[in-house]
Amino acid sequence: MISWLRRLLAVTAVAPAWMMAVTPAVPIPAYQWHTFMGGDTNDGANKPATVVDAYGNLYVTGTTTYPFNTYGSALPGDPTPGYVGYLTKISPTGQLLWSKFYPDYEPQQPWTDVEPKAITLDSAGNIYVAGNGNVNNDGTGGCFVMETDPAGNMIANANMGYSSYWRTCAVYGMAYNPADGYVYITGGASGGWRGGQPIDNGLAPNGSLPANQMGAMFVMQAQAVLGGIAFGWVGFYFTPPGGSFGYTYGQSITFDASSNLIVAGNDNDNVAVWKISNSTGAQQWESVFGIGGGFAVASDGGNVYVAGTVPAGWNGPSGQAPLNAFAYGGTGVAGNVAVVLKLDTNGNYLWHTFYCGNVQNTWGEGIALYGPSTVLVDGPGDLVGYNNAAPLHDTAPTGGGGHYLLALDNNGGYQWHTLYGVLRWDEASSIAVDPQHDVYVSGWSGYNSWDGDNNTLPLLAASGAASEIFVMKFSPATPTTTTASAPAPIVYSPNAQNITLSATVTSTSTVTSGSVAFTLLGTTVSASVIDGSASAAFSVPGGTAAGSYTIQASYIPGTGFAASGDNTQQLFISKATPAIAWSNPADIPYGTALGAAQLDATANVPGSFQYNPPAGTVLAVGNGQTLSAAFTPTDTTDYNSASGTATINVKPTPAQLVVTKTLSRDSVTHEVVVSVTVTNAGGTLAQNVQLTLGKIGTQATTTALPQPLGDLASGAAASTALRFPASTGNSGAAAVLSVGGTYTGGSFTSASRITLP
Amino acid sequence: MNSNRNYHRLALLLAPMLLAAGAHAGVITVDFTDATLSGSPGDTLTFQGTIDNTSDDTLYYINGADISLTGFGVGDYDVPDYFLVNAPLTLDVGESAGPFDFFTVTIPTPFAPDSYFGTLMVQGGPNGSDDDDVIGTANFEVVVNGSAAGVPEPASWLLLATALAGLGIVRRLRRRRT
Repeated sequence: MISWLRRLLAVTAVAPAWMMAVTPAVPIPAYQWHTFMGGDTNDGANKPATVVDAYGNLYVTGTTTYPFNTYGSALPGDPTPGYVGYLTKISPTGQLLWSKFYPDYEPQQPWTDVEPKAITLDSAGNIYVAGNGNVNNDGTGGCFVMETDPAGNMIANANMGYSSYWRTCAVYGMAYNPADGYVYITGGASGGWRGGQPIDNGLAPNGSLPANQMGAMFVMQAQAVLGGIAFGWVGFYFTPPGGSFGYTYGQSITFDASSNLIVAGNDNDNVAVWKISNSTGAQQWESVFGIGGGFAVASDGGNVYVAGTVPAGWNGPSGQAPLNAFAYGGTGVAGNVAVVLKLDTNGNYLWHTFYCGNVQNTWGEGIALYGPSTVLVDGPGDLVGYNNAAPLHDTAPTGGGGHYLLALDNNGGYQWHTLYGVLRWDEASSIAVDPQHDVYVSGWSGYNSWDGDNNTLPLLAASGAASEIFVMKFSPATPTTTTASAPAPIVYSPNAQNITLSATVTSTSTVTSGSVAFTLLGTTVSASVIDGSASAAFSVPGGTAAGSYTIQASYIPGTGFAASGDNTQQLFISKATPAIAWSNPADIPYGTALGAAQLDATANVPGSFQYNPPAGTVLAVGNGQTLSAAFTPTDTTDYNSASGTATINVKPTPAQLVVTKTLSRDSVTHEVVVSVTVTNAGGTLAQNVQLTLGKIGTQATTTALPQPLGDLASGAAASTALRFPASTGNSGAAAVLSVGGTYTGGSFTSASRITLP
Repeated sequence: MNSNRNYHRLALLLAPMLLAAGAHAGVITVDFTDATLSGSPGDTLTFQGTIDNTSDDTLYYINGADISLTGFGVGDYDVPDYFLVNAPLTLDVGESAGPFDFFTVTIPTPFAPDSYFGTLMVQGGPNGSDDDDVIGTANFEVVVNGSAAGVPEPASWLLLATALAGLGIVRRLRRRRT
């Protein structure tokens, strides 16, 4: 076996991705914490296998040179230097909850060391651990499988395979199939197998390897039963004849939607994938690709994703070029490069891609589906991003972190990658993803401690041993959102008003889910967020007083977004302005005091008017004089003051002709002579004034009429005499004198009580 | 002399009135019950009101009244038959008379619709029946409405024209038959 291949004999145990809950959109996971524990002077022996339960508790198993009760601390009184198997439970916050240790019963026989390599959980939360060595010291088994309760207490165990001086079996992968209740274990075997019921799958007659087959992949069915572990079928799979060096083995197991086993591994030093019936062990297909090895497999129920490593590039079965070309990285020195491969449910090639390291070899050792469309791969190496895309995180100060986490879309497109660890041998070997999309990356790190994001120290530092087991946790980075509502100005109304409350919700990407709850005036309305905006109809109760009211907009996040809110905006209800109605009043003659007939403005709300000029004012003669009305509403909270104007024409006082008289009697004729004076007491010129009437009682004047008096300006007077016959009446008789006349545009009449002279 | 005296008295009385004439001026307050009356040509409007002696200590003789009215002719309104018949000879301090008919205005036919302004001036004085000072005055307004009768509406014209046309046709048909 070539050296790079031997170093990769490890397993990644993850729950089948297609069994996990998926969400429509899963954001980039963000670093949460990392920690160290255990340690060894031998690099590869520390490679852990992990599995995570539904609550985010992580179960880690593997080998350590010294037991530990806390991270990095040797168990007091440890009497047995050398490898010890361990099983540890770590809480979602990174706290070590408990550890169990499985000692080496035969220290002088290293092939019996208990080396857990694979782990899985059954439906009840019991823990299955499988690996190499003799777990029950029966001296027969080369490999083992055991079951513990959720607290790590041993329930059952069994050895299988064979071990004499040299172990002839190796376990690399195991997975629990909830559909049938079995765990399925895979690895490599080279003969002398014990345990289970071998099946004749056409490759290994009667379940026995041909003499010329150097080794084969084994897959074995096992189940804890009362009193122990019951094995089901065991099958051996290979491409005959096996080569002298590379033999065939399975590294990782998962299931498709029909509970068939999907196994990734190595077939004569080539990347290989098998589909095997879970009920019979019959091989349904095997797809073999270029040189290298497949180390981890995931299934979305149909399609198959494989991570592995290759020492040289190759194309697909029909010459398909890799999505990312094979290269040896910055040094140009030949080494190993990570490969990711996708097949359909029938094993047909879909795509493959390579990712090299800058100065280190890169391997794809762990793989998991993250949401519906992202494939996560981890492994050792300072991976170079597609088109030299920079990592999300790199290890300061040296850069070129020792292990990577790579995200591809399900079409093989590069999404992002991140680097952690140190620039020495540093190997991420396992990915576990819980239903909350928390991502656990586990592996071992050599020679040095290292920090997380923003120089975050590990929960517990490395012990200082040559290599340390590390566990990292990443959680979906919920993109923050910003909610910004909009102000809503309206004007006071006694009636209900419908308004629209709106808000925008922004994030690093368009927010297309969730809703915004608007709370205003004690009422909450909600609206869905569509393309980052939400709008809701809101009815402002009639009579809501003018003022400012806070609009509380709360974003209720949809999948993948954080909540946010905004209460900085206001509903501004401004005062309403009363409507003033005031028609221009009719013309008035000079001398007319302003009164209700002119000062008659009205408003549509209760209140009072103050006029300028006020009532009682006598305006000067003139057209277009402004009258103004200042309105003060009764409800000054909700209504503004208002004003209105009107114009009025003040006409000059018409001619006012006043007749005064002096009476006498002609001494000769005894005629009554009335000296009439007509005075214009009005404001306008009286033109062509003339007397047209003169009577005392019914006696008309004998003076010829009309008697012209000419034009009389304001204040001017003119006189004339009217004569009446002597017979008009005796002296001293009472009578009524009537005098009248005309002027241009009018007339005048005067009547006076007189006593005849 | 009499004439000069009258001018002087009139000027004294009119000066303040011209400067700040109110609805009524002088010691006798003239109040129209309704200072604006409206009517149509042919209508006779009767202005009524009261007169009050607002002086502090003087009895006034009510000796006459003058009216000036724009637009109207002398014969269109009549003071003697109303005002002098109804008005008391004197008004003592604080005494009031009326309301009584001051005068009438008969709107001639036709007469242009408009507002016509007039002034009623009460003459008299404190000395006796010869006094003819203006001791009280008040403005009034005659509003002549547009003619509501005598001019058919367009629809009426149409009906009439239709009726006449119908009559004409009938008569022509009858002529043909005969």
